[in-house]
Amino acid sequence: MTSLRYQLACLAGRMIYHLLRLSGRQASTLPGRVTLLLDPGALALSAQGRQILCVTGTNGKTTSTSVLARLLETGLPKGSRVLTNAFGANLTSGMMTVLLQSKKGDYVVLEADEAAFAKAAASLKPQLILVTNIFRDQLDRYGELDTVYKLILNGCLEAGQTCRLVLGADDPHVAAIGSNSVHATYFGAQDSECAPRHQSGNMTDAAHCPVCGSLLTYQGRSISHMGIYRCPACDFSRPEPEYLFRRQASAAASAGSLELTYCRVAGAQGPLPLMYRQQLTQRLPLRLEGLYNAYNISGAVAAALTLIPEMTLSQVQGALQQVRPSFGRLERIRYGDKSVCFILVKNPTGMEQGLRLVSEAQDAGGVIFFLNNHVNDGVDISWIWDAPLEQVKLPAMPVGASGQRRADMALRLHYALGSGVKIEQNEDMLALVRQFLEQCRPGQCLYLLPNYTAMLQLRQELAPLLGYQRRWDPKQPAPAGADPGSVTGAGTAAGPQTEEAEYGNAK
Amino acid sequence: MEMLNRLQDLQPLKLCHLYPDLLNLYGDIGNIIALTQRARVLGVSLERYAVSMGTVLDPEAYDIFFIGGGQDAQQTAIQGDLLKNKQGLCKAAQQGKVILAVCGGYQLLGEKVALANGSVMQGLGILDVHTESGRGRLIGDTVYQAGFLQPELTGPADSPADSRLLFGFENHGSRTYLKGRARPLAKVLYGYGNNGEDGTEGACWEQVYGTYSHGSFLPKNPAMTDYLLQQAYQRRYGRKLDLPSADQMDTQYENQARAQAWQRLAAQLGRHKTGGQT
Repeated sequence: MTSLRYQLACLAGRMIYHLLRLSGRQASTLPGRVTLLLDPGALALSAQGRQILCVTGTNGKTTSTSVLARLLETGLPKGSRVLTNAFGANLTSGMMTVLLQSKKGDYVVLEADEAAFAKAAASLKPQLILVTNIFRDQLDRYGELDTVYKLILNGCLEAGQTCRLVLGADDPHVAAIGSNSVHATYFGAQDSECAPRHQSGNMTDAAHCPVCGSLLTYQGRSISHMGIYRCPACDFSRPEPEYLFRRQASAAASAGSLELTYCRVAGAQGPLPLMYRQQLTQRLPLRLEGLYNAYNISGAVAAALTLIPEMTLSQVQGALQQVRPSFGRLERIRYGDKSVCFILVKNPTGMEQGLRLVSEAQDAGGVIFFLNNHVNDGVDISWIWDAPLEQVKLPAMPVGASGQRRADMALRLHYALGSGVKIEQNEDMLALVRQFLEQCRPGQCLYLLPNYTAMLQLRQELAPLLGYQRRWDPKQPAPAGADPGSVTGAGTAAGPQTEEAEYGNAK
Repeated sequence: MEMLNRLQDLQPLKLCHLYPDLLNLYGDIGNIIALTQRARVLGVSLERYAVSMGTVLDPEAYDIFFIGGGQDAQQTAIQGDLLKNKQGLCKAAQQGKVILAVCGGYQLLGEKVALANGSVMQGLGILDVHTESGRGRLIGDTVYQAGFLQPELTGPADSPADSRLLFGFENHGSRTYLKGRARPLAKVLYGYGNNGEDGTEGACWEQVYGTYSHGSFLPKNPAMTDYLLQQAYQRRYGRKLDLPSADQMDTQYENQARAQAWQRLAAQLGRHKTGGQT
């Protein structure tokens, strides 16, 4: 039986939820925060009777969560409800807010911030946990890379013996999480996706054995430290993935297709030895560009098939067909006879890939970096030095920097691009974008590369110029890779205190 | 001047980046990028070398050494290898070669390092410091004052134009304490420094410098970068490095970043003052 305290806490949370919605606001964390304040045990109680799935890791949480939710909606019997925390509200408050709206029997796919996941896993008792990858990101919040690994590992252990783990095999730390579990399923990239290089272009991509700390050797790498690896000192190596993907290019402008090789294990509990499995190779629609998204989609498909082994190929294809690029990922918006393109960059690999994309774009008429160091971005911006921008040859074009840490960004660009390139700095994002757009010729595109809160701010400030909706439409996908922390974290820096601030709607 | 440059090109300064693949937490590579950039501005020819596990270090071959920070696991992994090179590195230090070490690398230059798991790691013993584990991490923006850097004449003291001021960011769980020959690198004006207790930051001895200012320490402190290059130059060529004229120093972007860091800290201090209890 549930206590009166719990019922009152939920009632208060729901009232706040409806009040916020009535006043036209996004109610994605405050209701849950109030509920947890009134009854800290509410998370565990409200998770009872629900099928909880958690998605955690550094990159790709939001995309994986939304793709997994789509797959479940398609694959589950009619009448099943699938809920998820949109807007990247991925702390306990955000998870609680979703659970407030859930009923017994519902499927709840929760995107969980790494630290929040460790705290909440014991209460949530998820049926399945999908871990994408562990990158250096927001290190000042979590301390060290190994700390993030331990947070997620502990969360998985807290979830209990019966919990299924779906893990990215190509990330050594994520793979290590599964070494003690009989319920681990791995997904990874085919050899052809992994460039045969032991050393990556960037020395800081080196990865160490999560077991013994030695430097791993690579047969091939896909992204940064991800790939086919082996520890020369102990017996740790990349586990054999049950789900292997490979991208297929297409002549059309779309992102092509995804070839997924996996095994049919309908009815079987847990992974079967490879020799008993029936190997299938399926071609799936790939609506999102980039290797990252191929990982995200493969992980989501692996998770969905682990949970619903009887899901048919056409159901999977149907769900993936509906996937749309998330907010801020190569999103193009027309501006008269010119255009702007948003590329979210929030870690070294993303920043280098973003600049490389601009350098290769035929239509680039300028590029502006927007760097904030709000607590949601990570207060420390040292990571911009890990981005190997020196390796990119940028054709002559106007280059700008804005955001709270524009001077640091300008300095990074100055060192990378040389004294011949002037870096225009302006605190006023709108003014800088206007100025750069004026310099663009017709048909050209101005590339905007913000980090997380800078993206929110930029969208807000450009709304009058580009004429899109200020507020996010809740039906639209939440920002890809968004990792908003919020006030439940340590009280070191000034965190967002209101719903509006959290999503950048208030100035 | 051109003649001089050409002569320098014949025998470039050699920079040795130790364990770049293992000790590379928090943008440490920024320090190498900064040394490269400032060497270009100062007209000093600089070659970079990466030396990692399994290589026997020839200290004679290099003029500047850099060691970055790592996590406990990586520090433990390199410890054995590093100790094999102990003699070589000690000799380099005694010869007055420039060694810059950041965060975990700084700790390893000391005598011993107590890890979070309770074990104690032997360091190189080049700096008279030892490191203990502490409760809670010391994280945040920092401003230090390093007396050995000359205040620039172009700006007032105690302003971002004062080149004695070092701007950085720290993030460490351990506390380091100085004794004997080790002198503090700088005085803490803002932040925690070595241990959050005695107001000191980093340590130095001869031309060996250790700091908790992690990651991209040098990019925002071009006076420090230039100083290290000058020391290495003087030791190598036996004469002072002729600096370019003030308008050729190309520190506009660095100075803007320093000014912005200063404003940010001023705003933080303002908030603390009006914030009541703290």
